[in-house]
Amino acid sequence: MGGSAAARTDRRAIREQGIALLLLCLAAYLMVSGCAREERDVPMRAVPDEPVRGGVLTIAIQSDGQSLDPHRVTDAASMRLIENLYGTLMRYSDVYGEVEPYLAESYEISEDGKTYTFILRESVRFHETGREMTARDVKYSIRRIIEHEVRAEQFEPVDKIETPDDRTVIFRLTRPAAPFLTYLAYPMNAIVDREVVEAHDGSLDRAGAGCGPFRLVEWRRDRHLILDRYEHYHVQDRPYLDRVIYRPIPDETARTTSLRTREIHISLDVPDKDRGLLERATHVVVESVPGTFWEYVGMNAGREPFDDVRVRQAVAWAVDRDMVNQLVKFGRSRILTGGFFPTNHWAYVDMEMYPGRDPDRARALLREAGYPDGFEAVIRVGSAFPYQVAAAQIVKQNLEEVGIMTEILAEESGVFFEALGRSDFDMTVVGWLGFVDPDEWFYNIFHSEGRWNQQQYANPDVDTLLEQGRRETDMEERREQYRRVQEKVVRDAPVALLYINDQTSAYLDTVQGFRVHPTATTLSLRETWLVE
Amino acid sequence: MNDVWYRFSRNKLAVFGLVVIGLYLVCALGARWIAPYDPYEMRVESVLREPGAEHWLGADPFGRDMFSRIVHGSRISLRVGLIAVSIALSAGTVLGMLAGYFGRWIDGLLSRVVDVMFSFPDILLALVIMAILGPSTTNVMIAIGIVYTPIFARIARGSVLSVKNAMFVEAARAIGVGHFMIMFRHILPNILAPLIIQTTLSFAFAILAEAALSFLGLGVEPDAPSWGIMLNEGKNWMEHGWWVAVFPGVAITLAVLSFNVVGDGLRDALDPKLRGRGD
Amino acid sequence: MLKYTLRRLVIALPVLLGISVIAFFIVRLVPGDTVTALLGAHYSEAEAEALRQRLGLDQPLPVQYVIWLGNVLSGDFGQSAFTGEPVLEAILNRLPVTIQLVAISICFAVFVAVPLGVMAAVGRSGRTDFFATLFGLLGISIPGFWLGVLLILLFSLTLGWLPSGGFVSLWDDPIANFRHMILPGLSLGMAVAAVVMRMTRSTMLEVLNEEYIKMARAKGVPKRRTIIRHALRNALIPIITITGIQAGYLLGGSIVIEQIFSLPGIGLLALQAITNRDYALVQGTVLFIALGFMVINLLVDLIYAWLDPRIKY
Repeated sequence: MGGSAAARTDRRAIREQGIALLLLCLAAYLMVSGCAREERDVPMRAVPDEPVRGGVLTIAIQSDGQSLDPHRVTDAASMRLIENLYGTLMRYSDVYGEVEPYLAESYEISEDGKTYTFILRESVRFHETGREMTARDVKYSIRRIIEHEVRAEQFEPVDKIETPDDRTVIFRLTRPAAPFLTYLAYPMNAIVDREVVEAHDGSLDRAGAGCGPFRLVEWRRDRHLILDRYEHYHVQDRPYLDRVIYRPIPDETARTTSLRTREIHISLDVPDKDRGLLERATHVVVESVPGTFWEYVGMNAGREPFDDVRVRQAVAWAVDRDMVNQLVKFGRSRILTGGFFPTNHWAYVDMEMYPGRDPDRARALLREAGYPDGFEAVIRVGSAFPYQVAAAQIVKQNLEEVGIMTEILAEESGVFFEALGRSDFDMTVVGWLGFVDPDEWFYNIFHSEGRWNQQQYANPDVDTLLEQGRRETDMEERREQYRRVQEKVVRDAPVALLYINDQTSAYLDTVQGFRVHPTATTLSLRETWLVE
Repeated sequence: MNDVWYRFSRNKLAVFGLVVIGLYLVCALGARWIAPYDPYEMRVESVLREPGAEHWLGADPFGRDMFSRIVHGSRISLRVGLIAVSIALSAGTVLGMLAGYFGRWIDGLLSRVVDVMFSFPDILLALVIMAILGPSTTNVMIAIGIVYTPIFARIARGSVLSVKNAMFVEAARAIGVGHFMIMFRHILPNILAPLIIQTTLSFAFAILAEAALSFLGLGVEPDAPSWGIMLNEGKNWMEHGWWVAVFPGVAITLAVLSFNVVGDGLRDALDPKLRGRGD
Repeated sequence: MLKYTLRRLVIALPVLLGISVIAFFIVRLVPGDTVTALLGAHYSEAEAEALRQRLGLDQPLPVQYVIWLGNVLSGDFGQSAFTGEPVLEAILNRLPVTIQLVAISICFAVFVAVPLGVMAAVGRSGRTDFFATLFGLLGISIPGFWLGVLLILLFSLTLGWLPSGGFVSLWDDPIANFRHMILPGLSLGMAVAAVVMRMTRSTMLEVLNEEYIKMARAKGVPKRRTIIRHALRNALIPIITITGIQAGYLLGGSIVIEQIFSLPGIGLLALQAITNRDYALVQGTVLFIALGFMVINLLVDLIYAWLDPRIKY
């Protein structure tokens, strides 16, 4: 899923563009950032140089990963480290939301949508053993994912996996599953080398068992992860880089300065406040695309007074999204007044359900609900996420004005997520990484039986729609279903949406071919090269 | 007593420190009237405003007035200092006196416990205690109080040992005064000097410790105008406005410095023999 | 001397045991547990139970303690529940960073503090003395973390001379390593420099008043030589002692400084372990830091006893 606890937070965000497409967004970016950068052709780079081989690229990430086992990790940081080591059957294409075959050469879906047949690419070799990848490795990997439970649920409809020959894999499903291909493209649903797994007693925490463009050299926690070019990578002449070094730099300022002083090549997550500084540096390119990290004020619908929909709506009306956005995100995030998605997503709908702050309306709703004098509540936040702690402070002020007196409790991740998991909270400010398919965005959070339905929200209509959305394969139908889901959820307000963040990265102008992806994946490193 | 005051007042630095502490006290007690703004009030139009007529020390990234926050911050710092030091002073003195007076296994046990606590760097101990108790102002006071208890215990124990066999104690014992009375009526007044000096110096430590804990995010509530929290915020924003990182630090340094010089001055004044030993 | 050393070691044993008890039990008092920190916001009770069993957290506490102590004594500090990294390996990996940081701080402190203290004592009540007193006072009053922030503001952000954080290994690139370590070393070393300076000044004052110094001067030994050969030499014992004691405190101070400068040392590891509720790692780091602290203090005592003939064992 897009985010377990850690994944959803490892994200900084950017600014509001209000424009639908990536290209438009980049054009606007040039306009907005003004004359200071006129002389620079980036990030459009109309005539890129010929790619050159060689070079060492250093990339800064916010925190170190927990493990290198793709089937076990849940945090975004680990994913960044791992994804270039491995390959998946499908992969995200350049158009956000769409996928294309990768380790698979081609695939076929049966009429009834219940049988998927993949023909594997030839001469894909694993780093460690040099062995060629076969259908059995695919079967083994999917099995392993299911065993490790973290993402087992994505493969819940899988009934049988057949491997009639070395290059054919057939998935037989119990029902049609619309997001199935998207899940196969999820970088952590990687194909692993069975022999390496077994040689490491089943654990890939510190080992590489992939067939991706780069192979593992050394991982020294909190210092660096070193990857080297894999000579037998199945795509000719790729990757260009000889070596990629990941360096965790938790401090925002330190990350920004090291880019300015050329100690690193890429800073993957640029905080909004430092964007301006980086844009002024002539040797740095700042690039941002609409991302999928959405943040909200969560309310516990299983607990008084938030079991009353009017109270939740009152909060949704009382929150000053503009102010939070201005103060916390420098106005760079896109406030969510209705739907959830980034503008470049196919399920995006333009809805205005809470167009602006309305304290009178909030007070009226509270009166109706029987709280004319307001009430007291605690907002729990994770201290590891300063931007959410900051947002909570503003929300607190907003709520005070309509009579809801809150206290902020900032706790370390362990305590905080435990409380959320147990639904032991009144209110919270937190976020999720939506990722790609709407099923990833909604099912587990808003289905009454959802695994992560912390808000204890239950609406039978929403349940039905979410179940249909999983099975439906017709695009238009799905779009309509998820439009209705968004409408109902936003109206019922188990969460008062705040904003959705852009994904912004910055890199030196010597870096070519690197693309910033909405999900912050670094997979484009295989197409990246360095110029002098 | 007059002697002490005379000697103290001749130390210009110490008097300066006392005056500064007095000013902080005024700020803490009269914060509501002195601060021109509500320290919690966020104003979009004031975000990162430079120091000037409108905001004397500038405004922070939320548009809150820095001067008002620092003035209110003195309330937190002094309150944490006062209560934490009171905890350490009372607990430490009682434990130390018990150990020193009764000796034997009580002394052995308490001294070992104190030794163990001394084996942890204070900030580490405070961090661990804060992790156990959870972040809040009350817990900061408790944590700092616990961390500094052993120092007082050690000082009290040493002082008790040095007067335990003095004539007046022997005399009191001879006429049948109870242990408790002896300890509090006869011994305590005679070991006050080192305790007073340590109390003053501990204020400096406590203010530093609160700031450090809050700086690390394990201290008081996140929106409280604590100097440590302001500094933590300031660290992330200093490139956008130096004042957010500079003024809270000045406030901490000045407070710590004042308690230090007053403590030094008291030591010189109360115990002329120690004069000049600056450690 | 040997007897004294042995006695000190015997006294240290129960303290060591006490440290281990605290290190072990303290994390059990913490609300929230590794299991939930590990599983994130979302997990089923069965998953949690399985993990608890795997980590041995379902045993009674005293049993866990005894098992843990036995393992520790045989060099097995357990595994970080969060990352799966062996605790000992994690600590040893980060140890060089902290040692280097502490060493740089001490060097800086000694090189600044001793000459300054000597000059202040010699030119008592003069301008140097005033400056030294001010330095001493500011040094102990400025919080190291604020100093760090100011140094970053000046040297990295404004002047752009030095990096504002991160670490490069000494063996990989000595120059880059040094550039990364200067500011943290300064921030951490300032307080030590102040304390050592104050100590140097006051002991030098005492020594300079001793008869033999006056005698040497009267006999016509040059001033500079008197000061360095005779006075400083005799003042060295307390200076070394106080420097040693400060080295212990630096271990604590490094927690905050490593956090500010993103230095992957023991202090940062301890802080992360505490934040993540990583039992094994908290125990390991706390135990290790306390142990280091104790060993340093023990060494200081022994050196002191060895240097100072007046001390009877």
